[in-house]
Amino acid sequence: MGDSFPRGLPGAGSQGDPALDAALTEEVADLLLAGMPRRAALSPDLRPLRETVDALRAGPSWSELAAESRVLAAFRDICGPSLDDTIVDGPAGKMADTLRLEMLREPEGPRRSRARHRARPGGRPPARPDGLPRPAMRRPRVVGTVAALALLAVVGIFAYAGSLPGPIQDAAHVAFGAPPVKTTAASPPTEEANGSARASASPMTGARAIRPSTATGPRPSANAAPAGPKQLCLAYLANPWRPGATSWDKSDFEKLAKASPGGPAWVLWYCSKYVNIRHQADGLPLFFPLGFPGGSWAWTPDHGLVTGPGSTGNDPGPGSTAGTGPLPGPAGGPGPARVAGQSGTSGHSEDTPGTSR
Amino acid sequence: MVGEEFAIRLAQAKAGDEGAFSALWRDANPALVRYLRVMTPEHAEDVAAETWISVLRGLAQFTGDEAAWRAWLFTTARRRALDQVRHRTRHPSEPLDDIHAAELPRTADAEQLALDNIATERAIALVSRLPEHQAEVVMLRVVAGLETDEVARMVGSTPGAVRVTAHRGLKKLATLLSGAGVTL
Repeated sequence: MGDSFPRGLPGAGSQGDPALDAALTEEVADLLLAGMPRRAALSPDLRPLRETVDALRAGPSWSELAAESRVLAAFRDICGPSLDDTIVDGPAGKMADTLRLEMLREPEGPRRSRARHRARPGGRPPARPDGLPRPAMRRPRVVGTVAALALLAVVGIFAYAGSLPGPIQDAAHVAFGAPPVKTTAASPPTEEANGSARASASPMTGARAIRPSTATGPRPSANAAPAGPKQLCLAYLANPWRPGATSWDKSDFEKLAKASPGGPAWVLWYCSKYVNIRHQADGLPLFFPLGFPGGSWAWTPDHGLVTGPGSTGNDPGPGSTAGTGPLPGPAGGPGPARVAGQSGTSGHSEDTPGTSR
Repeated sequence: MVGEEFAIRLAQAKAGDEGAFSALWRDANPALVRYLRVMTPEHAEDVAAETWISVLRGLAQFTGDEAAWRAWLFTTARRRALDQVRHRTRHPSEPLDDIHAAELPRTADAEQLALDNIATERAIALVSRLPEHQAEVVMLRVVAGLETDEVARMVGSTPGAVRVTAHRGLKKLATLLSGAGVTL
């Protein structure tokens, strides 16, 4: 026997009793094993053997039937009808006859058996002893809930890794603050570029890049379908103005400036509704062109907006096109601080954002 | 054995009739437990419980007569017992001591049953002294009521070899009984 039951049996072999061997022929053995009739003749030498075999077939003991209640409980749980199979009859709530259905042929393979009611001529199914409906299967709902949560977790992981497709990543960014769609990095400006910027035809005057963002993104309006405000904001924030930089698109900014309730000076505020600017800023001051002369703004995530050179710090709120002065940062952010910055000289310091000079 | 009512009982049990299933269980469980007490003495009750769980889960798909039913039942029990032996794991079960007295089945002739129980216990103990293969074959033939062909399929042997093994097992039992002077 390949599968063996290891037991410590005594190694006694057959004693080879001739009387027993003569009495216990194969035919007698077959009769004993199959259940020999009581009246059948049998050698007296085999009487103890016969009694032993009969004892193996004796009636059940109480211990062998003691587990009946537990087995029946398992039967009700596994094979009992579900709540959907029962019909409550009338206002009294009495359990009515269940709907008789032919048991469908079950497909092959492992399954959790669920008995169906079978049509029975002229008969009612035996009622439950307690008359209570059976609980409905809950496992499929639990499995479905767990599967949905697992799917959300996977989507969240990919969203925070920034690996989702663009529109989905944007949706995740808006929904739970996942990183927005990544853009390619840009090279930092050079001193020459900074110096020559003032003479260039740019909307900025007297402004310098303090620490330019290393990210430049695709220009949404260049050879592409018209972009929405979020895309424009992303492109704008990814491409802070640097003298000589060609990645920034003036026309895109003008679109934002027109969309912004407060005009160019409120573009950052406007974009903060679509984009988490803190992430864009990477914790360091950035310059964002405002498209009007005499004003420059730097966004400092930790300290809100910082006024630059040429600003008065008393800018009006939205609706005003005149743009110098503190603007409200994101909700909960501190108020603006004044920073000394001057054209031709080094601009904002990186050591302490918002520190007055 | 249930006999002629087996087909009806089975159909009712598959339809969710507790009483019908109870009848099937009362008929088969004592034999099942005795078989398992010889095969895996320490975990007989646990394996029996697992066997019935497996049977319940496959009940709706089972088709066949009473012989097929017992063959399926004991085949399942044998597999569970082998798993138990291999993995040596303890499965939870409710100790018999925790069963309230009201749950114990009442019988008309308790004294006779007690005597029968003693004889059965001794018989099981004697069979347990046989070589394991002989003990299993004897139990499957006598207690489970399976035919030689079916036993051969279960243990992976031939009908002829099963007959020889059963014969040798009975001879061994007879020798034990005569040599020890055991009376039942």
